[in-house]
Amino acid sequence: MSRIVTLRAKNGIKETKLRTDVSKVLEVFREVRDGWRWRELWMTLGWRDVQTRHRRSRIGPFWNTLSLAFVATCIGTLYGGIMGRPMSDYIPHLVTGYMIWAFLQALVIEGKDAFVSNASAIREIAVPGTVYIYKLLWKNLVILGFNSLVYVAVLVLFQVWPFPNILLVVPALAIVLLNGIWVGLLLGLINVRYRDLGQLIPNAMRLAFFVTPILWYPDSVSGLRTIFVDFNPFYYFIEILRAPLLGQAPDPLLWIVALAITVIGWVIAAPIYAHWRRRIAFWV
Amino acid sequence: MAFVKLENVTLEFPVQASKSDRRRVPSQGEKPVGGQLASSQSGQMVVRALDHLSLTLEPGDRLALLGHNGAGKTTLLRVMAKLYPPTHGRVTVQGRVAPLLNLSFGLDMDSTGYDNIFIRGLFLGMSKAELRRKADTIAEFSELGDFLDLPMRTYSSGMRARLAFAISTHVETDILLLDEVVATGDARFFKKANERLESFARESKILVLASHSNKVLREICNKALLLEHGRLKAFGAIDEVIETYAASTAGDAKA
Repeated sequence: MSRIVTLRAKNGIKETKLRTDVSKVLEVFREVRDGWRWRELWMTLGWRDVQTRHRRSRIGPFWNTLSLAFVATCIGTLYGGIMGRPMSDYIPHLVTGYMIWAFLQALVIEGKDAFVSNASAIREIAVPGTVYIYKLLWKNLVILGFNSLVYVAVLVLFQVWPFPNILLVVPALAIVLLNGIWVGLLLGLINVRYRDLGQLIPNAMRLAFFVTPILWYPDSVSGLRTIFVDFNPFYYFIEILRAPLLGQAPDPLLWIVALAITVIGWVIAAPIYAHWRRRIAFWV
Repeated sequence: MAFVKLENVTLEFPVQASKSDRRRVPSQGEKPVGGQLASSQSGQMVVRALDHLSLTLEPGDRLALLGHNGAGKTTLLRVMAKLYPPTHGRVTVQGRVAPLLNLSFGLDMDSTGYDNIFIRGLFLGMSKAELRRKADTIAEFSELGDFLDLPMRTYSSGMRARLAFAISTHVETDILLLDEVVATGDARFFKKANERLESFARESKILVLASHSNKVLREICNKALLLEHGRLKAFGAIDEVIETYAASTAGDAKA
């Protein structure tokens, strides 16, 4: 009898613990929503970040555009020749891929610093943690905007007509941004506590650039090497954006995998962030 | 209705990666600084910055925080600002909070003073439209004049304090938390700040100010809280608490 009572009590404790865990996770999603109310703040801060990176330079943020244009001409002519692809095919592939990669890479590398680099604000005022994530997403969207000028020039130059499939960029970008939020919350949180992550990630990303089909084509690998394409999460996010930008519709499988990564990412990140987010102010 | 209530609040900081090689001399009697140091079961150092603190603030209260270095004044302000969740106990804060704890926060040294009104104002929860309406009032209150068009890095710490103070006190807020900031200004600004804080209190808002300057505290506050190693030592009318504090430090000095 008494055993049953204790068992029930244990179950009761488990239930209440579960309930508090669920409410904690709900708080994370509340933060995701509340962050949107602070859009004037993060839009201002994000835009300022773009400007301050090129402070006192005459052409300012257009340096982003220019540097991508250099990559397109130099790497494009060299690697296009090495791989024996026609320029009209290789350069659009390279420019879109490189532009998207720069965006994804920034979301990861700056995502890990989302809280560390805002330490003085975090120790001073209680705004939702998502504000710092949205700030970096916005900043990199603005940079992506500057980079896309090169993309438009390439379309004109090589007469690529991306309509109507280019409209698929909208859902693709939404998926990428949804992933950007969980990546920032998770890596940002871990990096606050274990700063070694901050050293590891840029190294890992440099390697990822070479093993992801950006300079090369996904269909040019065969055999065992296809794991670099098939098991590379970056490939899926690049491809769902790159295909519509070049006027193609991405394969349904690409959408499915990208969505699956989004769901899995949130399922992992939300409880972890929910559990430790209140300690960020102590750790930064 | 502004309202701050702390019930039995304890706050412990875990301190990471600090294996000290220093030979510890068993301390005799009370330490003059810091919170309480203890080791948790896992052997990690823990600083108990606040120890079973209970406190209620009502509209119109202007509370002075007194205590030695590391007594827990800033930590208490951060608990009230909802930055630090307490380890034990409960904190209830009703109303909008504007903290002014760190002068460099929300201020970009390379931007002009005028731009910084917007950055810090947005952080404090104001909208851009609201800030555009108030920017002139804030600029006028800071008395910085043409300096507002110069980058912040050309400002002295007193000038920075003026601007930060001007922004924080022009926010629509119910609770203002200040940490040793007003003291940076000169006499003229102090007088002005004092008037501003008094009108603030008349509108039945709550003000909490930590400072080591008894003169500042006596002029601005009506209540005081004396902290010692994170514990509440005295709470009551400002003059009495300052006297208690003076007596305890005098006692220490003699001993």
